[in-house]
Amino acid sequence: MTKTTDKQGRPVVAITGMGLLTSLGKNRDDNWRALMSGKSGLKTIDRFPIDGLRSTVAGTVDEFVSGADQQNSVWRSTYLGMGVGLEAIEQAAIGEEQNFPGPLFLASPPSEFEWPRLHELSETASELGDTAYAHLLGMARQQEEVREEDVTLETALPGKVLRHTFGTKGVPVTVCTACASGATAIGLGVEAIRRGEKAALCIGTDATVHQEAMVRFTLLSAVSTHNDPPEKASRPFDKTRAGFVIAEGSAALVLEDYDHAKARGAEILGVVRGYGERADTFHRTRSMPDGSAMIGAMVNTLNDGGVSPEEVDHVNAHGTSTPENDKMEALSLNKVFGDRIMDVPVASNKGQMGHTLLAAGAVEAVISLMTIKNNIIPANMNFETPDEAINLDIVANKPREKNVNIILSNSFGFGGQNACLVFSSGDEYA
Amino acid sequence: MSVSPTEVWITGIGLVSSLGEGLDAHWQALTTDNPKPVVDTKSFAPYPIHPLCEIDFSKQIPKRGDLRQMEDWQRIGTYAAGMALDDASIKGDDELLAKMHIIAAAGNGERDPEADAIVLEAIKGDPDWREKLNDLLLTNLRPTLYLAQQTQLLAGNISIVHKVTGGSRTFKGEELAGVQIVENAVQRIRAGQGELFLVGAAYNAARWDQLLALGLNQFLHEGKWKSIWDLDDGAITGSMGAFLVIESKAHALARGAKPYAKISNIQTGVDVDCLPEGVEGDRSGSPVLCGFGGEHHPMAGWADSNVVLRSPTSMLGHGAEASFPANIALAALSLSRGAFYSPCGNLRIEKPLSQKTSENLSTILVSAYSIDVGDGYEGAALVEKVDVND
Repeated sequence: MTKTTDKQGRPVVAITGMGLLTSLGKNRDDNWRALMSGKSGLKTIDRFPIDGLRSTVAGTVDEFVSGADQQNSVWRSTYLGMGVGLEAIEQAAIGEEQNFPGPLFLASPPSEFEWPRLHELSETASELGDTAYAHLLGMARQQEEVREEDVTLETALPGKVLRHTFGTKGVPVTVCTACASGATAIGLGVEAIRRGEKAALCIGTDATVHQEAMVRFTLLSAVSTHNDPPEKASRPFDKTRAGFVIAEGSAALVLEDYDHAKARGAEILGVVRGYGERADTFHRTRSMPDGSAMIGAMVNTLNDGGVSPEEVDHVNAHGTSTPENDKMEALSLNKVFGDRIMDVPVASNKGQMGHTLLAAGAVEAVISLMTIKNNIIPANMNFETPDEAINLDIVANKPREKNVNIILSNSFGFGGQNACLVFSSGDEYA
Repeated sequence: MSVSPTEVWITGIGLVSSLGEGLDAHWQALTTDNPKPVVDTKSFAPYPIHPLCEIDFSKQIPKRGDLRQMEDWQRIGTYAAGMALDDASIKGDDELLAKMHIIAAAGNGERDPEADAIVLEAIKGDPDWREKLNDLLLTNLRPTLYLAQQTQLLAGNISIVHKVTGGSRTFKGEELAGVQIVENAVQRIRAGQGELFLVGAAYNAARWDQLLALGLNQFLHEGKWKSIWDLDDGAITGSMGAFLVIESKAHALARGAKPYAKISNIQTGVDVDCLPEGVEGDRSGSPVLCGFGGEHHPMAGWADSNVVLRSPTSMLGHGAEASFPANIALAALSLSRGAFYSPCGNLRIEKPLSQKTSENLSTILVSAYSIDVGDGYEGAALVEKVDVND
């Protein structure tokens, strides 16, 4: 049997398993039903007090979390990662239990101190003052044993736990490219398959709706202040958009060498045709005014996949609902697609489920592949007032039927982190 | 038929630590008889640290606005990255910078201990503290600080300051992330997935929040300085920045770049009785540079063999993600200068190497371990002398 290769002679990267868990639902099917119905995953935060906050809406995932874990976003994120990983591996029906035949690439959130723990520690100290941390360290010294919520301060922890859960091979690679992390995790998997790995598990997970996170994004003027009603808080590409809405979610993809998948009779859910990156040098939270870095990432991705802009049927946009991102993304898409721009429907899933931050690239990858499968594009919710600065065919407010074979999925993050993916049905290799 | 893999060259090094700035400072400090560490035992007592040497950051980060928006770990890393670019004659070359990919490793950004102290004092003993927290945080947190706290913003700042505009990735995961960034560059060069990489990490040991995180995990040594072979209660951390320019031999030759050394092999996940057996090469002739491996140091068992061990980590301190790139830099430096480092610390374990053997060294093994050694959380690379007449 001759090896199936892409236009550059590389192994073809198939997707054979997917898991999805967001504020819209706890598995792929629940999510798809919600995406088709237009139901929102966003609500007024009830996890902690919202007194004094200008933004009070989030897309929390409240399953799988309880007790002390509720207080620790790294454990929450890790549990979500377990859920989607299991769903993806089950669908792929690959490997033995706890023995996944390939590496793990993980996008997981920061391993930071959170206030419930800092407060608890400080309550045991007799004094604090200016040198509070020195006193907290004194308290730490008196602890006999390492506490479960403190092991998450090691950034390798989520990867170690998930590797143990799934039995992936080698040391897990944990990546952070901000809000592009989910896409980067998949990109790492794509490169690994092209280097000869038979399978790779790629997970993006983020469950970081906590008090300080809300405050930080507020201080950066990045989050939406449209609090009432909560389902209208996130308005990608709409003229009245006022910021993103923090959301929790997780997604997993089993990537597999195309021939390896075929040989064992696995269903091909789609193919990752290409992956590309381009770093921006302009500003920590803003992109190059000419869009060159976003454009570069999209063009690199299409080139990597051997896909011409004419072949793209739909763009699953980053579309955060911030004034800056959506304007720059629209400008960049216009440059990439030129005269054809109004023939390429664009939608952001974030109007409905908010921004799942480090997981977003993986979450939107799964939605893109389901879009290709079903030939229905989920809606860009809350697009009511067109913005004259945004010249795009937005899939406004209700899903649209369309034959979709190739999708470009964009992910852009603070710190000039731009990463894109291009997916196809894989029919071209059948 | 096996095709010999693409050679992977190290063509630029940026290194700063408590021992000084640049390769000469490190060479001098580590080849002198009985090298002496620079240790600060007072500032974070009872925890000693190796403080960063005096550095004028503006030499590599000229804009005050850029400097202001970084915390020290990012300044250290952006500085070392700039040194590596200068060293490889790439700084300012837009064409090369546009095809250069950054692979950085980083942990959590720095918190503001003063702001946290104010908040903690205000909520102490208050059962309704969570209701007050939002206002306290909104008043006391600086918006720019949060950006400094983001893991990807070391790489982000390197792009902004030095205009590196290929891909940008940041790996997390302490010591092993430091190995994985080098491994990723080597794998991609060999597979034709890139030709030119800027790879490295930075660590700031002078951080209360980081010390607290390590302290809660019982990972810190208290008291006087000891070599890593003699530490039995945890690590001594050290500030450092280590960046490497790594490129394919063909790419380096085409632009006339000179190599320090090549990376002949690199692996993570080697899990053979804690010995990096998986790394090919003639180990009997290779001295080893190793990092901190916890209280039961996995390499200590090698002391009874003929293998010559050194741990520059005794002198530099434990630098988490930055330790492995720093040790790779030191291995490449040693091979390029045809001499080896003096024993530092425990002389039973670190045996001297004769001058003749040092001059003829062709390979050095560099190894790293996760805090909890075992379970495959180990990695190693073989760094090899480049014969320029090849």
